Amino acid sequence: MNRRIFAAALGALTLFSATVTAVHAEDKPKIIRIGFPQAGTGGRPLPSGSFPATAELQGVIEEEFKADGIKIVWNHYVGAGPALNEAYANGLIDFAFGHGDLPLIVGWATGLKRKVIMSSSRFGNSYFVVPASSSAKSLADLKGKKLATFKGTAGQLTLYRWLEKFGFGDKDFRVISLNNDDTKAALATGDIDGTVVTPFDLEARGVAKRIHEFNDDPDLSSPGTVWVGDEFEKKYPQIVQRVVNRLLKAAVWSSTEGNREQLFQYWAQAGSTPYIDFKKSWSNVTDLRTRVNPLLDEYYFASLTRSIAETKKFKLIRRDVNINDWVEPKYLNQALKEQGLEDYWPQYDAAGKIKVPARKLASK
Amino acid sequence: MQSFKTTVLTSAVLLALSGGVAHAQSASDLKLEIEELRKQVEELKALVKPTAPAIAEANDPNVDEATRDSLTPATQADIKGVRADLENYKYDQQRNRDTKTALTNRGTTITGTLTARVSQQQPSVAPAGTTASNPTSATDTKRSWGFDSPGATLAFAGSLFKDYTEGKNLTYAFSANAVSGALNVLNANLAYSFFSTNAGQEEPRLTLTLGQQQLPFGLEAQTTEEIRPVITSAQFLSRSAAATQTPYNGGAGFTNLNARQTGLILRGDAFVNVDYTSNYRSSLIEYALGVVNGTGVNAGDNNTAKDWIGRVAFTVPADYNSWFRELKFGLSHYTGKANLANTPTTGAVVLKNGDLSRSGFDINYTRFPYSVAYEYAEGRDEVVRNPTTATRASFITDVKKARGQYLTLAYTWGEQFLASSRQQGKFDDYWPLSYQAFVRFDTFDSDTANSATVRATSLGDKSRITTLGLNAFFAETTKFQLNYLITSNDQPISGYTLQRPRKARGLVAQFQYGF
Repeated sequence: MNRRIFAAALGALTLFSATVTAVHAEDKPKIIRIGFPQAGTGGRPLPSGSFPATAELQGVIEEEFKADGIKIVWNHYVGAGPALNEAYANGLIDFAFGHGDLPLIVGWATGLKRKVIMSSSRFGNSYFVVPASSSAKSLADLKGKKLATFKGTAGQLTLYRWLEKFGFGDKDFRVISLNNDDTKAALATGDIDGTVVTPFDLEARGVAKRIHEFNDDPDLSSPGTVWVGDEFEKKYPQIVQRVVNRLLKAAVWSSTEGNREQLFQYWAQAGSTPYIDFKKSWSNVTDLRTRVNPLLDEYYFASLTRSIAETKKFKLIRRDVNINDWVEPKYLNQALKEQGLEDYWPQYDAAGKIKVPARKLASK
Repeated sequence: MQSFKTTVLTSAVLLALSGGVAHAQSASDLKLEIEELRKQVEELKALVKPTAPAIAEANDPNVDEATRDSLTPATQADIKGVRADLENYKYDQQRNRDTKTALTNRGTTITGTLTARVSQQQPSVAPAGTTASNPTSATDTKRSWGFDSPGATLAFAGSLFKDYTEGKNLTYAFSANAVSGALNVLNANLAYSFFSTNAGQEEPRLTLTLGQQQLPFGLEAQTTEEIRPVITSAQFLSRSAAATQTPYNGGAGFTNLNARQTGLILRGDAFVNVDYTSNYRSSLIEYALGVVNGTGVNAGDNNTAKDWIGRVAFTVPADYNSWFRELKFGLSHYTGKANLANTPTTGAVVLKNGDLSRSGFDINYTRFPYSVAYEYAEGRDEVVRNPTTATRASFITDVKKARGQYLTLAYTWGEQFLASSRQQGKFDDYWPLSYQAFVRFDTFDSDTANSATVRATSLGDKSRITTLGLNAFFAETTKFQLNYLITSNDQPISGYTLQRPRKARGLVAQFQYGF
């Protein structure tokens, strides 16, 4: 064959392949299916407590894709993180707008392929609660007694971290599994001796009291995660970028001090946490960017790595997993750069201490 | 409020200044102390500061409504208004509880299932005893199609004692079925959990159930109508020994395995595997062991001998995402005694307690959207060779063997069988619309002797039914089922009859609805 013809044919083929690839990469889906591991009281389809929740409540994702004719479908799973895993395993969602560490990690360990694209939330208050009639003043007074947690959820790891913080292990107590409603009922009847739970409603009813409280303790909490399914990410990278761009804007809005009241009113619509409880539990947060923080910084990696070790230690997974295999930070980095937000949020080190302070904002 | 804060600030400053003076050692110390005090004053000012701007902010039209609301104090009138609403709500709740609420002594769940059916069959259903030359009875003629309501079930289940401490709960179940004007008790039992049910999913389970209950035999005998894909049960469960023409007649089968029995049954599992990915729980071994009267539903015992049942099932330990998820193999065995009586013209007596046994093997694979179920069952019954002439002093018995098996293959579109999808948060009466298509091959031979010398009735008693079906799940407790059945019967020694033709085809459509 003539070399020139061969080269031209090869060039044409390369061009054709590139065109096909480009066209393929720019393909758009007809539908984007987004899952939340939560629903409002009474099973209402409402999210709460994070900037991705704000994004849904403000309708910004729909707005982004309206011109493209892409339909946005929101799924709110009453069964929380495990339900989100089940839905993804059966090909029913493309994005998760928040996922706790334990179900996220066991999903990875059992082969669910997805990419972490942002963090959805971090820190928060944690309370150790006992029945109102209890004479216990500290966790040490409860040694050998019965504690409750909903095994298999992120709450299980949180309880174990509490125990470790006070120098105990799970074998020092009798840990039983109860769901949230049964835990509250058992506290009221005195059938359990302690648990980690938000105490406001229980205290208002006079059935329980807190004996310990930690605010924004990086050793107790673990960041939430926003992820996209591997297949969707490979097929529609531009769409993923646009979702991240919009989520980042929602994160800016949600961490703007002037929007604090409106933010709590949005989140309180779900009813799972009342407005007054948001106000109380966020009262010590002087800069909303502390908790409303989408960064995949050292703290995110260190925290998830610690959770993986804990999950393995408590025999909730059998295989080794590595957080570095699952994070794809390019979408977040590009969005931060494009929106001039690279220094907007505080960056934390592996120990959860501020490494790079947040950009100073002009005071009102 | 403002004046109070000012007073506090002034007092704090004076107190701080007086303290500083008293301890001043030198001019440089004094300077440092003044600096420190200045800082404290600034901090105190900062504490007082928000009040004045807050009021201004509350009236600022440029501030968002949520912020304005948060800065606007409630008045006594506002509080009274809220309280009035609360009191009205409390009154309404109490009144509804007193006058419009069904109450029980213990937490109870009430459910029920009803069916409405239309069926067509070719050739037509012939009345019992009719022949080709005389195709009508005193009351019935042949019918090719008709409507019916095969039954209604009402069930109550709940807790008798809820053990918050150990989760060793005591529960009860009661259900009754109304068929043809008669009310039959189905389940009537209480169950106790010996192992803790609140220590986590990974803990094994063990319950003891006393009373009338389903038998832990195979797959379909333990499946209720609500979740069975096929309208009719497998032949070895539903068809009587006397083969009939109608493939969807239901009723007590020769094996008596689908009938509830009264007794005591222990059920448990061991070597539990939990995949926390989606809280999928499977146990390597499931077991059951029980003793029952063996006389069936709503009947007292008729002899001292008791029937025993045992079952063991192995589930492949696999993660939720594995292709081996929910792959289960089971073995079941039932053994017991049945009274064998002679049938003289008058004065029938029991000749002996005859032996009977049922053995089964099953495989089930359910991995959404696919599902495969295979079950094999064999029954052995001691029978009197010549019951009309047999006496207690002289009788001979034979063992009659029956065999049945089925294979069901199903495919599902939609998310009806995914807990995560069923439990989604929705404003409307949401249910994931789903369709399930299946095919079932079912054979049954009520007497495998197949020899006129042994028993004339053993010849031509084998039937094969192929069922093609489609189930539509369109609401939480309602489904539409369409089954097309092709029946093929072996020829009896006396030839085919209207009641047992060579082939029959039937179409059954039914709504099954519950509450």
